[in-house]
Formats: sequence, C-alpha cells, structure tokens
Amino acid sequence: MVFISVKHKQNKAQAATELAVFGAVLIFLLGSIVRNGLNTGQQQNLQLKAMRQALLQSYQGSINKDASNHFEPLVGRNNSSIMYFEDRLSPDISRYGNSDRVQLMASGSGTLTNLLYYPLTTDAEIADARNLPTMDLYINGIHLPLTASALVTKVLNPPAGYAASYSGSPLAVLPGALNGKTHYKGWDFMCMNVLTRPDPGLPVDPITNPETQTLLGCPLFYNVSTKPGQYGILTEDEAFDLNRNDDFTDDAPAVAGNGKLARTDMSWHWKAEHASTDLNIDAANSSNNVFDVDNDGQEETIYKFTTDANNIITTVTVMDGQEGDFDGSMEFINGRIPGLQQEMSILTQGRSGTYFTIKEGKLYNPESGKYARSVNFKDQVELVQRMFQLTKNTGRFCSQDLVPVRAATLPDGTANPVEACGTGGLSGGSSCFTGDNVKQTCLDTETLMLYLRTRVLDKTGHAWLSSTQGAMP
Amino acid sequence: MRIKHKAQSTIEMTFVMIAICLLAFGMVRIFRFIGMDLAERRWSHENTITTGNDVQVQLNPDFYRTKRMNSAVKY
Repeated sequence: MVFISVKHKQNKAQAATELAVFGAVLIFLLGSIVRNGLNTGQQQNLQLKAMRQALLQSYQGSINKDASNHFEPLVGRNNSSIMYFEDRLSPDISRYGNSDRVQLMASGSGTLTNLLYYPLTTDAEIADARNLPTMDLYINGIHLPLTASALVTKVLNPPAGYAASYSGSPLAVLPGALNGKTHYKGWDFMCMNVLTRPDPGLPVDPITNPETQTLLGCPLFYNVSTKPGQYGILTEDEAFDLNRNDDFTDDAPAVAGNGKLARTDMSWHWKAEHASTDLNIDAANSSNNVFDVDNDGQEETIYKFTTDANNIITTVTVMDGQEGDFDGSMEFINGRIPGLQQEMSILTQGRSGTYFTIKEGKLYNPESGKYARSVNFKDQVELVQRMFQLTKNTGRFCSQDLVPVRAATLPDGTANPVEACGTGGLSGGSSCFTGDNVKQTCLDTETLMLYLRTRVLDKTGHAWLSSTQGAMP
Repeated sequence: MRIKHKAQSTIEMTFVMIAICLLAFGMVRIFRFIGMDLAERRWSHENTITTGNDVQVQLNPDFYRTKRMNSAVKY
C-alpha cells in the first residue's frame, strides 16, 4: 500500500509553482523596465534634438547668404524657440503588437549670442518675412512656424470722435467729453499751441486783428520706466495708470490703503513723450526705438516713420508683438487661453482588407527555410488631433476673407502646413469638421482655433519565426 | 516510500534554474540596453558638439540612432 501524505503532495513542484508566480511578477517588472527605458530614451532624444535644432536655426539665420553669395543675416530666429510633439508607440503586450501611444514633448531655445547684432535697415530687409520672430512647432514631423509678431504700418490718428486740432478765438476749448484731460487714449490734445492773427505785423486787436489759438494734438509714445519720478510729460496719476484705461480710481494710490499697495511699491510705471522728431528715434541702429505707439499697453519696435510739417510723427512702421499668429501676452481669446489646448484625441482606422492579421501554425517558407510560428500585425492609420488657439489670423495660412482661402505657400516661401480653412460654417464657408476637412490640419478663421491633425501610419506587429537550417542566423 | 521524495527540491531546482537563468539573462540584457542607450546618446551628443569646426555638423539634430535592443537573437 502506498502512502502519500497530503503534506508531501502539496510540496510537490513547489519550486516550479513559486517560479510560476514570482516569475510572472518578474516578467512584468522587466516589461515595465523596458517600457520606461524606451520612453526615457525617446524623451532624452527629443530634448537633445530640440536644443540642437534651436541652436542650429539660430546659426543658419546668421550665415544666410543672398543670391549674390553675400552675407544676408536673418533675424527671425535669432532667439530660436522650438517645441516638439511626438506620439510614439510604447511597448505593450496587446494582441496585434504595440498600440499604446505615449505623448513625448520637448522644447528648446537657443541663441548664438556672438552673432546677434543685425539691425534691419533697408526696406527689403524689413519687408522680408523671414525676419519676423518665429516659434516653431514640430508635431509628428509636421513643421508649423508661428510668427510672434508682424511688421505693420500704423496711421496715428486721434481717438475716435475727436479732432486732431481745436481752434477758436480768443481761446480754444477742448471737447467737454474729455473732462479736462489733455492726455486721453494715447493722444495729447495740447501738443502744440499755435497763435495766429490776420496781420502778424500789427498788434492783436479783438476787432481788426483778432488772435486765433489753435491746439494741435499729437500722439503719445509710451514706454516702461523703472526710475522713480521719471514720467516724461505725464502726470504722476497718468504714469501709474498701469492698465491705461484713463481711470485713476482703480490704480495704485499715492499712499497705501483700502487693500491697495502704494505707488512706491510698484516696480515700474509709464513714461510718455510727444511723438515727434525730438525723440531722436534711431531705428537704423536699433536705438531709442521701442515705444508703445498704438496705446495697447505693449511696446513695439519702430523701424520707419513719417512726419508732418510740425515734425509730428504721423505714421509708424513697427514690429508689433500683438499682430503675429500667436501673442503669448494675451490672457484670453474667445474664452480660451492662447496656445496649446488640453483637449487631444486619437482616432484609429484599419486599412480595408489587411487589418488585424493573425496567423498561427507551421507556415513554412521554402525560400527562407523558416517556420512562421505566429504572426500578428496591423495596417492602420491613426489620426491625432491637437488644438492650438491662435490670437490673430495673419493671413499666412488662410486668407482674411469672409470665406477664407488656403494659401499655397507661406510668405517666406515654405509649404503651408495648414491643409484646409474653415469658418465654423457661420459665414457660409465649410467647417473644420466636414467630411473632407475633418482629417486635415484646419484653421477656423472665426474662432482662430487651429486643429492640428497628423496622420500616423502604423504597420507594426510581431512575428515568431524558427529556422529549419539547423543554425541560428 | 519516502525515498521517492529524496532530492526533490534539488531536481525541481535544476529545472527551475533554467527558467531563472533565462530570466536573469533577459534582465541583464534589458538593463544593458537601457543604460547603454541613454549613456551612448549622451556621449554622442557631447562628442559631436565639441568635435570639428563645422557648426552645422556639430549641431546636427539627428546625431544618434537608438540602439537595437537585441535582447534575444536576430533572424
């Protein structure tokens, strides 16, 4: 009679059982290490690539040559800024091979400081679109250059509803709506005081030779000052009207109180001067040429200007940081924060007829002398959508018409990465979500939302093969 | 009858050690791949950026290809 105790029975193959349990845990850990290792490697690769690309762009602008092989440096990417987005497959144990995608993001910025000083002087240089400050997005290999400013010519007019000059006899009186303010919406209504009379050779006579006083207005050019008491022609109240709404009740008071800090606690204030040749603007040498010329509370860089007979500046050509595709200083637009949005989606479609193949068994290939034990692969396209909120339709990607038209190329001659233009359907054009547009990178010119859609082909899978040749290759 | 169970743990260990060795081998290969990939990329970055006089070669963004894992065998 054979006795096998229950105790011994339970101990049979104990090591194998334990290995089965802990081995599975170990394999899982190894898989996790592989996955994290690959992702870390790809992230490191992208970071180094972004940094190198940024420095390289800054360098390439510095050594640019014209058609005559003369140096013609470009300043658009002097301070190069690059952001990469890549959706990489991550190793996993899914049935048809890797299917999980991990978003990798890396940004880099680079400046070759020994090659920086390139003031724009000639009209051709100023008008060259390649000289616009640009940030570059690379999304799954698609290059999207976004301008951070634009070159615009602005005509400096008095505020709406007001005249450039007021005259009268005996004294000019400013419009009552100004409430006694001489500085309003970036305009000085008492810039110049001109006294005229019919016969300048004779003394003033109220009846025969009356004097007429004319108050000529002129624009104000503002800039930021950190020096205490340096206000230019502004009053202290006007200098500390930091939001420039011409309402001094919501500004910092002279003495702290009611939960407000005092003006002495402010790190900066405004300073303004009359926009005239007295400012000694030296655009050719990039000297004393940064002012807020359009009363938007942001400084612009002046490249050219014209004056009238009184040496008052009437038009300015400026590089304006609020006129580019993307203005990072803007808080909200259409209820959204400008820039990349949090929403992201991935749509997957298998190719008809070839999708999701699984082959098992001895599929002998006489040419290779191998058995295919197991073959799993897929043939699919993944559509990855991201959303980027622009702040202005500059017309570079899509025209500014009511029904926008896609530009074939960008102003700098490169290909237009935006494949379709939409209007939300409100202006008679097609939306970015029609059957034709939904798979394409599309700019909605009404909401200024850029739908970045990249199509990633995925033909990955795995095959387990064994050789019948008697030796491993 | 207890003689049947003599050296049971040794025999089981013999079989199991094969699997354990394979796991250990895989672990070594994986740690090697991950460490080498990160280290070699960094070395390649430092090396290319400080070698030569051609800035465009020094700053080439595609300066490195990810190492093959080679955790098993090639076919």
